[in-house]
Amino acid sequence: MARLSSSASGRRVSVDLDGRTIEAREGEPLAVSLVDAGQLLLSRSVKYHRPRGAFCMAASCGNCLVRVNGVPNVQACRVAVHDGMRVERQNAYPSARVDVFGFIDWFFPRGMHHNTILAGVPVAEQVMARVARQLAGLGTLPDLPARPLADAQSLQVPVLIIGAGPAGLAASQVLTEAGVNHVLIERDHIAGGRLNAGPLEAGAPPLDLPPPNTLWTSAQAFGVFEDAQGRFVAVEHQSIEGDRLVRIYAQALLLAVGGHARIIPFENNELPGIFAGRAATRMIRRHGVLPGRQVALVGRGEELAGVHASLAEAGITPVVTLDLGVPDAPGPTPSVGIELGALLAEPIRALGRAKIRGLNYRTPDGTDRRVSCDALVLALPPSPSYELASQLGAQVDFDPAQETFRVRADGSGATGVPGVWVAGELLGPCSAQEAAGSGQRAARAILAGEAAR
Amino acid sequence: MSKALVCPCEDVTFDNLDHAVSHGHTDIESIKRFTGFGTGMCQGKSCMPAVSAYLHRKGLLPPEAQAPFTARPPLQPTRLAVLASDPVPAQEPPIGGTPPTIELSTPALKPDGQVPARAKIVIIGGGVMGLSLAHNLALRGETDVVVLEQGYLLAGATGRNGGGVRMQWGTAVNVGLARRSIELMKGFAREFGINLWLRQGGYLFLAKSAEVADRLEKSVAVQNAMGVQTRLIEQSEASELVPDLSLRGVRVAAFNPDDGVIFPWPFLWGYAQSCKRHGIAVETFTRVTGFKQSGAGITHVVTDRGEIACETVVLAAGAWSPPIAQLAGVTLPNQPHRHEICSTEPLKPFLGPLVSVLDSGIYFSQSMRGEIVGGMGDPLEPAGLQMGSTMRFASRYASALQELLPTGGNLKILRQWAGCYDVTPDHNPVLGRTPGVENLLQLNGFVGHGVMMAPAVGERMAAWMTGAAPDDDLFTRFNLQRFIDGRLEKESMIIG
Repeated sequence: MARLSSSASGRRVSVDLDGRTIEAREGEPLAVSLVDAGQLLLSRSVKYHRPRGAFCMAASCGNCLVRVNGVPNVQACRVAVHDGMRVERQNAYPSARVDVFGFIDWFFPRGMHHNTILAGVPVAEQVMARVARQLAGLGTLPDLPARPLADAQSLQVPVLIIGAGPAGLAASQVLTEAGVNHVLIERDHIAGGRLNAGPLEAGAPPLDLPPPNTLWTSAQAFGVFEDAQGRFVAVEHQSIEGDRLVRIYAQALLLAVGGHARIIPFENNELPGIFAGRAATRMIRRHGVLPGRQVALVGRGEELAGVHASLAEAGITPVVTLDLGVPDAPGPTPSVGIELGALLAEPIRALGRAKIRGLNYRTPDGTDRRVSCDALVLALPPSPSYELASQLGAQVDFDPAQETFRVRADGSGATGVPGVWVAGELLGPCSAQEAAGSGQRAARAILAGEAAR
Repeated sequence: MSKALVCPCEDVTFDNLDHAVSHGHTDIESIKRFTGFGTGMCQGKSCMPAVSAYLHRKGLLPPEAQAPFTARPPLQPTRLAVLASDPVPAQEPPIGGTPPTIELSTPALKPDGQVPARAKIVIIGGGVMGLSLAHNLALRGETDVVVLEQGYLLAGATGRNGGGVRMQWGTAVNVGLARRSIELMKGFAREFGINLWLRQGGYLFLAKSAEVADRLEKSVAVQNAMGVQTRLIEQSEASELVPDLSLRGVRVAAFNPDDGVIFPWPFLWGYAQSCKRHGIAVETFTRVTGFKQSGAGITHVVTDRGEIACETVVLAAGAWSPPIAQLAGVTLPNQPHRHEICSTEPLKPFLGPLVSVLDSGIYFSQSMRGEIVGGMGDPLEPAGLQMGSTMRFASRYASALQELLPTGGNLKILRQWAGCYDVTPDHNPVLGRTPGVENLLQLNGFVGHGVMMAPAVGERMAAWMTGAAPDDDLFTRFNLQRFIDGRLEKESMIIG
């Protein structure tokens, strides 16, 4: 698939995919290079051996697992390509394309209930247990021992901001201007979040990077814990010197980690070629890689409008655009600026075997339609990534209008847990501009707290 | 074939959600356990809101009762090698835990209505002990029973244990109980219509120091005298059993092929379903707040959903037993101790037995789903009801596992959690009558090994209570009086 010429891509290199040489770009997430190479099918799923391919491109799902350089279950969206990389699809025999175990999917058309299946049936029960054991699991043990890491480090800092999207960057700017020492960590290899990976939107703030020592990219916070020195965030930081575990002890924590791609119920909703809206915009805006040639677009609200605009800028006119509407509203709400191909009244259904080939849907007047497509993009507002806030003791509420959870906080982003603030999409869907505003408010509240102390 | 998936990591469909609801599971923690959603590589990032949306649209759970399942560390799959790089201070005990508080239920999940006003027998604790007893009482015709559980089914230690079942114990009585339990587990699916996924891959115990080796050898002699087929094996045979295992420093290895692992959750569902079929009420999200006593006995159990007049009370609340006993003025010698555990990504089968190094207390096995599930006791763990996870555990376990399984450094921990052992001074359970409160029966103190004892203990206790076996010495030998009389028999084969 042709790359957009405007994109900055790494050097052309070769990776080995199941013995076949594939062109890829150095430093690019492997999953993106594979989409570009037309390799949508990655592995087979754990139980039914259904085909799987990258979906969220942001480590929020488990759909892009492959074996990389002898290490099983690597998220292809998180690993950077290097020349000669060895990539193997998993959980398929003889190959992911022609997997004989695919029969399991056909054998259980409505799904298998593992708790009750063949329970207590003489002989069959024992046979099933043996078969299930052999079929279970993804990947096999790594080929080699891991390279040992240098000892973990500890760092004390007045303020730690997690997430370098618009909210985190704006908060960092406020703190920098006030001369407050802080660290801003970002799990991606570059900062920006939705500013350079999300849907195009009017009024988005410019991408101003903080001073280099403040910003750590490729730094994943994986938990919050305590020891004799107090509360710390455990961070895995990848750099050219290798991986390092860092315990960051901060008086104030600002969580601006955004959200996860969501799953909505329809048949074959995980076929390769189905992408989250922000996976599509990330591929286009960061890497110049298109999700497909014939793209069907389904979504709702501003997110749908933004993804539509991003596709349009990349020269893609969706073969159909379906607005799901707001769940609790009486009917679908068309978004401004979108020529609606159809409004959705009935569940959609994705078609295809090893990857998506088309989409069935029903219009409000009851007509069944079918379009051919090679990609389906689901543009829904992300679901707030509340996990870290929750681990810190913050309250998390269900938002029936959005059908997601979100973190409870006051106008400044204070969660009620001492020293813990939240900003941006953790509080619910918002524009990049609003996210930046909430980051600034939280940073000012943190400064006010510092001043009071 | 067309399927709508709610959790692609574990291949859970929306039909599976319907199935869980039809089995009575409507709170999120229970649906997670019944369907397995949210237990795979992404740990619920994409599927959690989809499940909540489903419950919301079907009107099964009001918004205020929707709470996401506990967000456990690590928040991203994290390699053992990364966790092992954190030097663990030798003298610093574990501090705190993630999540910081024990939340077994949200108030919104408390059922409407009162508990039954009277019952002949009230069992406190809806874990595997309480429900095994209730089921066995029903088999003996005693169905005038109410079981009280403070959280969802599996909120306590039954839902948090590693699923190991073994006959390799140090005293004859425990060898016998475990052997009978494993026998009952083999027929569990037939009896209850639910799969326990018992896999008898054996237990491989390893000892490194001379003192521990001696203890292991003595326990094997006890087992052999009971007819259990445990063998002391050579290193070469241990290497054949687990080719990837490093046996450096191992002095003695013991293997019993009849030990194994089960999936603990269906165990509880099976018993709970049987109770319901027999008309025994299992009241979840119901807390005991006190007792009414008269003379030498309890007349009523007081809960946050009303009082139950009763003749007999059984205390089977695991690590929560001491504070509940205190409500009746009884002091138990048991102490809760957190034990942490974790699970890796699922792998193709490579590990037959559960492997445990008795010296360090590390144990690990491969679940039927392919994950390496394991834990490791911490000698510095202070007593207390604490079920949060620590980095200290993750680092200690990762280092120890990497040493035993050298190619494991690039495997990833997906989820860590903790439960409480209910620890007694002699590592044997507390059973039978309570001095001074005659109708309070004890069924606790199983030191983290209750799941593998429950089928046999429930069977014997029901027989003892209903008069079929009034002289069973299990319930006098291990009663509270032994601590007063100093009749202690120490169990030496406790791990974790």
